[in-house]
Amino acid sequence: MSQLFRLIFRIRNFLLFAILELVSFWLLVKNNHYWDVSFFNTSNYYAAKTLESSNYVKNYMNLGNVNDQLIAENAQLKKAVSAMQSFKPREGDYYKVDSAFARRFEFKVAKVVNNTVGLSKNYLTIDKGTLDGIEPGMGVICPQGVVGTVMQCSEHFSRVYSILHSESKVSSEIKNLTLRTKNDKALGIAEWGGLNPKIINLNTIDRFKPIKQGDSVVTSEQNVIYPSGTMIGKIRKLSAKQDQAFFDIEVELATDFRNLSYVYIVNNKLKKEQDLLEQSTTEEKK
Amino acid sequence: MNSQTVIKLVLTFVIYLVLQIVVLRNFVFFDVAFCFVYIACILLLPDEVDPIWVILISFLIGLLVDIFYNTAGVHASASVMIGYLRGYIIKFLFPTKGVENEITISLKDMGGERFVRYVAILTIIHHSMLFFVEAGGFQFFLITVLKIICSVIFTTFLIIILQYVRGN
Repeated sequence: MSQLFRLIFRIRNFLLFAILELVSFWLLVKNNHYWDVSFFNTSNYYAAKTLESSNYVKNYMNLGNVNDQLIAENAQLKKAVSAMQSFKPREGDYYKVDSAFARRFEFKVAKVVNNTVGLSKNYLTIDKGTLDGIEPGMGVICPQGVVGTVMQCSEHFSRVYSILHSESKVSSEIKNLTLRTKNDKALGIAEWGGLNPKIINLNTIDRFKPIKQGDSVVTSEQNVIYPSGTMIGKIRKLSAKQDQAFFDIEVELATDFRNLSYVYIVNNKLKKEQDLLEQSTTEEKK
Repeated sequence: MNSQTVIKLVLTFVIYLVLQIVVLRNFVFFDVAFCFVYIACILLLPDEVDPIWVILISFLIGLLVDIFYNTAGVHASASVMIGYLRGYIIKFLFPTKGVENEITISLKDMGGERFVRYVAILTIIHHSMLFFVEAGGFQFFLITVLKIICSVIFTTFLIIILQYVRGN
């Protein structure tokens, strides 16, 4: 027995090392779960407060940039409003959008207090939490385009999955004139390849769709998290090999993740209802 | 160790950590060159500190940095790794230690070449572990290796510069 103790004493450094490594990896695995609300991240109040104050100066320097973004967004909104006002439904259009469905999205503004772009799993921290009605699963967008999905919330802060995360997916759609006149759609799922924070990949679009370089990629109408038609980016490069069924598309992101200052949190009021319905029908099938 | 040395050490810790969390968190060059200067806290611990304490301190520092980087466990595991290997590296690089005299870990006392070698080896170990754990395996192998190389250069450079600043 005493020999055993002596052995343990002799390798005590290694034992401590092994235990602490195990603890680290346990934290790592736990932290990557979607549903987990753990202490060791920036939705922790004190950590977020520190970051917020350190970001104060940076925000001040960034005001000019923010101003430009807001002006551009305002102009775009004005254009959209005037287009809506002058738009009248076509003759014989029998489909009417239900008002509860049309007004299903609510927007809230938040400030970004922490943000990474260079890692392979990137997150943001924003300064709104459960007290402001933020819940995990809500979408986050900015004036330029999509940003990510809320992952977890504390009272005053939330942690957001950036779309620059190796596991995030966005249901997206390509828009151009040819597709519209042909009444056709090009739907696909955008995923980040983990390399460049300006590029996202779109690899599930049929090779025979009439799309070309420079076309806009927006969120699709099948999207529950983001309002449909939210900008994702523009096609930068597209290629297809002879034996492939799909295009390899590189999309240049519209969102400038390095200069994110203010974001909108999107609440889809009908999301729960839709999820519940879809869940119950899939269960019945089983 | 007297209380003066301890106070000095704690102060150094605070300075390096604040520098890391407040300033260097925002400095990433070309999306590949990160700087994790906080590992200087672990590298520059006096040699007479018990290895058990070195490992524990490394873990706590790693965890603290993790909280601010939103990466629970990544920095902690890499820091514990160098905290553990530090003793062996010192023994490997300075085999005469203990025969002649105690070794002090600083640029002034160790001389440029030996100090750079010591910092570079441990930084390479730390960053390799850090970036591969962060990427969750080897699926982004090339970009991860690029990140490691650039970040090692950046971090080593800054640790050495800071040594000069402190020395004068």
